[in-house]
Amino acid sequence: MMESVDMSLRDSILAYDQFRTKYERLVEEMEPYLNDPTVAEGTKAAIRTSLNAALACGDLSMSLGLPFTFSATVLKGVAKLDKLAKWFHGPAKKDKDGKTSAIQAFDLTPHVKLRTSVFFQILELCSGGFLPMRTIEGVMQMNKDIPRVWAAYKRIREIAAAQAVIEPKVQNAIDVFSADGGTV
Amino acid sequence: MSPRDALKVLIEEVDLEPEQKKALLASLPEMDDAAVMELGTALATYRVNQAHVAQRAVSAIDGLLELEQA
Repeated sequence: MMESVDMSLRDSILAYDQFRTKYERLVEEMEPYLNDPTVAEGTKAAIRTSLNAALACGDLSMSLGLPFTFSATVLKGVAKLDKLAKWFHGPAKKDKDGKTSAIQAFDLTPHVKLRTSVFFQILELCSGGFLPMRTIEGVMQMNKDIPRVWAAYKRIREIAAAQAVIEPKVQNAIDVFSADGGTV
Repeated sequence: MSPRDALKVLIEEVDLEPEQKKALLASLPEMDDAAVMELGTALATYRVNQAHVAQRAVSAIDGLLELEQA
Protein backbone atom coordinates (compact mmCIF):
# COMPACT_ATOMS: atom_id res chain seq x y z
CA MET A 1 0.00 0.00 0.00
CA MET A 2 2.73 2.41 1.06
CA GLU A 3 4.73 1.59 -2.05
CA SER A 4 1.77 2.38 -4.32
CA VAL A 5 1.31 5.76 -2.57
CA ASP A 6 5.03 6.51 -3.05
CA MET A 7 4.82 5.54 -6.71
CA SER A 8 1.78 7.71 -7.17
CA LEU A 9 3.51 10.68 -5.54
CA ARG A 10 6.61 10.14 -7.67
CA ASP A 11 4.44 9.90 -10.78
CA SER A 12 2.67 13.11 -9.82
CA ILE A 13 5.98 14.92 -9.32
CA LEU A 14 7.25 13.58 -12.64
CA ALA A 15 4.05 14.63 -14.39
CA TYR A 16 4.32 18.09 -12.80
CA ASP A 17 7.95 18.41 -13.90
CA GLN A 18 7.01 17.42 -17.45
CA PHE A 19 4.13 19.88 -17.46
CA ARG A 20 6.37 22.65 -16.12
CA THR A 21 9.02 21.96 -18.77
CA LYS A 22 6.37 22.05 -21.49
CA TYR A 23 4.87 25.25 -20.02
CA GLU A 24 8.27 26.96 -19.84
CA ARG A 25 8.99 25.91 -23.43
CA LEU A 26 5.60 27.27 -24.53
CA VAL A 27 6.24 30.58 -22.74
CA GLU A 28 9.67 30.81 -24.41
CA GLU A 29 8.11 30.15 -27.81
CA MET A 30 5.32 32.65 -27.18
CA GLU A 31 7.62 35.40 -25.85
CA PRO A 32 8.36 37.10 -29.19
CA TYR A 33 4.63 37.17 -29.89
CA LEU A 34 3.40 38.36 -26.48
CA ASN A 35 6.03 41.12 -26.27
CA ASP A 36 4.54 42.67 -29.39
CA PRO A 37 2.07 45.49 -28.50
CA THR A 38 -0.37 44.63 -31.35
CA VAL A 39 -0.51 40.98 -30.26
CA ALA A 40 -0.86 41.91 -26.56
CA GLU A 41 -3.73 44.29 -27.38
CA GLY A 42 -5.35 41.67 -29.63
CA THR A 43 -5.08 39.00 -26.91
CA LYS A 44 -6.82 41.29 -24.41
CA ALA A 45 -9.47 42.08 -27.03
CA ALA A 46 -10.01 38.34 -27.69
CA ILE A 47 -10.47 37.62 -23.96
CA ARG A 48 -12.84 40.59 -23.64
CA THR A 49 -14.83 39.42 -26.69
CA SER A 50 -15.24 35.93 -25.21
CA LEU A 51 -16.41 37.34 -21.87
CA ASN A 52 -18.76 39.82 -23.57
CA ALA A 53 -20.21 36.99 -25.67
CA ALA A 54 -20.76 34.91 -22.50
CA LEU A 55 -22.40 37.89 -20.77
CA ALA A 56 -24.60 38.47 -23.84
CA CYS A 57 -25.80 34.85 -23.63
CA GLY A 58 -26.67 35.41 -19.95
CA ASP A 59 -28.34 38.72 -20.73
CA LEU A 60 -30.53 37.20 -23.44
CA SER A 61 -31.92 34.84 -20.82
CA MET A 62 -34.79 36.77 -19.16
CA SER A 63 -34.08 35.81 -15.54
CA LEU A 64 -30.30 36.39 -15.74
CA GLY A 65 -30.37 39.68 -17.67
CA LEU A 66 -30.62 42.13 -14.79
CA PRO A 67 -27.93 40.66 -12.48
CA PHE A 68 -25.52 40.44 -15.45
CA THR A 69 -26.10 44.03 -16.55
CA PHE A 70 -25.97 45.33 -12.98
CA SER A 71 -22.71 43.47 -12.13
CA ALA A 72 -21.04 44.60 -15.36
CA THR A 73 -22.02 48.25 -14.73
CA VAL A 74 -20.79 48.12 -11.11
CA LEU A 75 -17.44 46.65 -12.24
CA LYS A 76 -17.20 49.33 -14.92
CA GLY A 77 -17.77 51.95 -12.22
CA VAL A 78 -15.03 50.39 -10.04
CA ALA A 79 -12.59 50.50 -12.99
CA LYS A 80 -13.56 54.12 -13.67
CA LEU A 81 -13.02 55.07 -10.01
CA ASP A 82 -9.59 53.38 -10.08
CA LYS A 83 -8.73 55.42 -13.16
CA LEU A 84 -9.85 58.63 -11.43
CA ALA A 85 -7.83 57.78 -8.30
CA LYS A 86 -4.72 57.22 -10.43
CA TRP A 87 -5.31 60.62 -12.03
CA PHE A 88 -4.77 62.24 -8.60
CA HIS A 89 -1.52 60.48 -7.70
CA GLY A 90 0.02 58.96 -10.81
CA PRO A 91 -0.34 58.14 -14.48
CA ALA A 92 -3.84 57.06 -15.46
CA LYS A 93 -4.39 53.30 -15.95
CA LYS A 94 -0.90 52.53 -14.57
CA ASP A 95 0.15 50.95 -11.27
CA LYS A 96 3.35 51.78 -9.34
CA ASP A 97 5.47 49.53 -11.64
CA GLY A 98 4.21 51.40 -14.69
CA LYS A 99 2.07 48.43 -15.81
CA THR A 100 -1.62 48.75 -16.64
CA SER A 101 -3.65 48.45 -13.45
CA ALA A 102 -5.33 45.03 -13.11
CA ILE A 103 -8.54 46.74 -11.95
CA GLN A 104 -8.90 48.18 -15.46
CA ALA A 105 -9.59 44.62 -16.65
CA PHE A 106 -12.90 44.74 -14.68
CA ASP A 107 -14.23 47.05 -17.37
CA LEU A 108 -15.27 44.74 -20.19
CA THR A 109 -16.52 47.61 -22.35
CA PRO A 110 -13.80 50.28 -22.10
CA HIS A 111 -14.96 51.95 -25.33
CA VAL A 112 -18.48 52.48 -24.02
CA LYS A 113 -18.80 55.51 -21.72
CA LEU A 114 -19.91 54.96 -18.12
CA ARG A 115 -22.89 57.27 -18.61
CA THR A 116 -24.01 55.23 -21.65
CA SER A 117 -23.65 52.06 -19.57
CA VAL A 118 -25.70 53.57 -16.71
CA PHE A 119 -28.34 54.73 -19.22
CA PHE A 120 -28.56 51.17 -20.60
CA GLN A 121 -28.83 49.89 -17.03
CA ILE A 122 -31.77 52.21 -16.33
CA LEU A 123 -33.47 51.18 -19.60
CA GLU A 124 -33.08 47.51 -18.71
CA LEU A 125 -34.41 48.14 -15.18
CA CYS A 126 -37.42 50.02 -16.61
CA SER A 127 -38.17 47.14 -18.97
CA GLY A 128 -37.92 44.66 -16.08
CA GLY A 129 -34.96 42.93 -17.71
CA PHE A 130 -36.76 42.46 -21.02
CA LEU A 131 -34.47 44.68 -23.14
CA PRO A 132 -31.06 43.00 -23.67
CA MET A 133 -29.08 46.22 -23.11
CA ARG A 134 -25.92 44.41 -21.89
CA THR A 135 -25.86 42.55 -25.19
CA ILE A 136 -26.06 45.84 -27.10
CA GLU A 137 -23.23 47.26 -24.96
CA GLY A 138 -21.18 44.11 -25.60
CA VAL A 139 -21.77 44.33 -29.35
CA MET A 140 -20.65 48.00 -29.30
CA GLN A 141 -17.39 46.88 -27.68
CA MET A 142 -17.01 43.87 -30.01
CA ASN A 143 -17.14 46.23 -33.02
CA LYS A 144 -13.92 47.78 -31.69
CA ASP A 145 -12.34 44.54 -30.42
CA ILE A 146 -12.82 42.17 -33.36
CA PRO A 147 -10.64 44.23 -35.78
CA ARG A 148 -7.94 44.21 -33.05
CA VAL A 149 -8.09 40.40 -32.85
CA TRP A 150 -7.65 40.14 -36.64
CA ALA A 151 -4.80 42.67 -36.50
CA ALA A 152 -3.13 40.51 -33.82
CA TYR A 153 -3.52 37.38 -35.98
CA LYS A 154 -1.92 39.21 -38.90
CA ARG A 155 0.96 40.40 -36.69
CA ILE A 156 1.49 36.85 -35.31
CA ARG A 157 1.61 35.65 -38.92
CA GLU A 158 4.24 38.27 -39.79
CA ILE A 159 6.42 37.28 -36.81
CA ALA A 160 6.00 33.55 -37.51
CA ALA A 161 6.73 34.01 -41.22
CA ALA A 162 9.97 35.81 -40.35
CA GLN A 163 10.96 32.96 -37.99
CA ALA A 164 10.05 30.28 -40.55
CA VAL A 165 12.64 31.55 -43.01
CA ILE A 166 16.20 30.35 -42.37
CA GLU A 167 18.80 32.52 -44.08
CA PRO A 168 21.33 30.67 -46.33
CA LYS A 169 24.23 31.62 -44.03
CA VAL A 170 22.39 30.15 -41.01
CA GLN A 171 21.35 27.07 -43.02
CA ASN A 172 25.04 26.48 -43.86
CA ALA A 173 25.87 26.71 -40.14
CA ILE A 174 23.06 24.25 -39.31
CA ASP A 175 24.34 21.83 -41.96
CA VAL A 176 27.77 21.78 -40.28
CA PHE A 177 26.22 20.15 -37.19
CA SER A 178 23.98 17.68 -38.98
CA ALA A 179 25.03 14.05 -38.58
CA ASP A 180 24.77 13.09 -42.26
CA GLY A 181 25.73 16.43 -43.83
CA GLY A 182 22.06 17.21 -44.47
CA THR A 183 19.59 19.27 -42.49
CA VAL A 184 19.48 18.69 -38.69
CA MET B 1 32.65 26.81 -42.63
CA SER B 2 34.40 25.46 -39.52
CA PRO B 3 32.26 24.21 -36.59
CA ARG B 4 33.46 27.14 -34.47
CA ASP B 5 32.42 29.70 -37.12
CA ALA B 6 29.11 27.87 -37.58
CA LEU B 7 28.52 27.98 -33.81
CA LYS B 8 29.22 31.71 -33.81
CA VAL B 9 26.61 32.22 -36.54
CA LEU B 10 24.05 30.16 -34.61
CA ILE B 11 24.70 31.97 -31.30
CA GLU B 12 24.03 35.26 -33.08
CA GLU B 13 20.94 33.84 -34.81
CA VAL B 14 18.97 32.26 -31.96
CA ASP B 15 16.95 34.46 -29.59
CA LEU B 16 19.17 34.30 -26.51
CA GLU B 17 19.45 37.13 -23.99
CA PRO B 18 22.16 39.67 -25.02
CA GLU B 19 24.21 38.81 -21.88
CA GLN B 20 24.02 35.08 -22.66
CA LYS B 21 25.14 35.76 -26.23
CA LYS B 22 28.06 37.85 -25.02
CA ALA B 23 29.12 35.19 -22.50
CA LEU B 24 28.89 32.37 -25.06
CA LEU B 25 30.82 34.31 -27.70
CA ALA B 26 33.50 35.20 -25.13
CA SER B 27 33.90 31.57 -24.04
CA LEU B 28 33.92 30.23 -27.62
CA PRO B 29 37.76 30.26 -28.09
CA GLU B 30 38.21 28.24 -24.85
CA MET B 31 35.62 25.58 -25.72
CA ASP B 32 36.92 22.15 -26.75
CA ASP B 33 35.73 20.54 -30.00
CA ALA B 34 33.27 18.20 -28.28
CA ALA B 35 31.57 21.13 -26.48
CA VAL B 36 31.42 23.09 -29.76
CA MET B 37 29.72 20.14 -31.49
CA GLU B 38 27.31 19.56 -28.59
CA LEU B 39 26.25 23.20 -28.29
CA GLY B 40 26.16 23.64 -32.06
CA THR B 41 23.90 20.61 -32.51
CA ALA B 42 21.57 21.85 -29.76
CA LEU B 43 21.31 25.35 -31.25
CA ALA B 44 20.89 24.01 -34.80
CA THR B 45 18.10 21.67 -33.66
CA TYR B 46 16.44 24.53 -31.76
CA ARG B 47 16.52 26.83 -34.82
CA VAL B 48 15.16 24.14 -37.15
CA ASN B 49 12.36 23.29 -34.68
CA GLN B 50 11.56 26.99 -34.28
CA ALA B 51 11.23 27.32 -38.07
CA HIS B 52 8.90 24.27 -38.17
CA VAL B 53 6.71 25.64 -35.35
CA ALA B 54 6.58 29.05 -37.05
CA GLN B 55 5.61 27.42 -40.35
CA ARG B 56 2.76 25.55 -38.63
CA ALA B 57 1.60 28.82 -37.00
CA VAL B 58 1.62 30.54 -40.41
CA SER B 59 -0.50 27.73 -41.92
CA ALA B 60 -2.97 27.85 -39.00
CA ILE B 61 -3.34 31.64 -39.20
CA ASP B 62 -3.78 31.49 -42.98
CA GLY B 63 -6.75 29.19 -42.35
CA LEU B 64 -8.20 31.69 -39.86
CA LEU B 65 -7.63 34.67 -42.16
CA GLU B 66 -9.57 32.88 -44.89
CA LEU B 67 -12.56 33.10 -42.54
CA GLU B 68 -12.16 36.87 -42.34
CA GLN B 69 -12.08 37.18 -46.14
CA ALA B 70 -15.11 34.88 -46.56
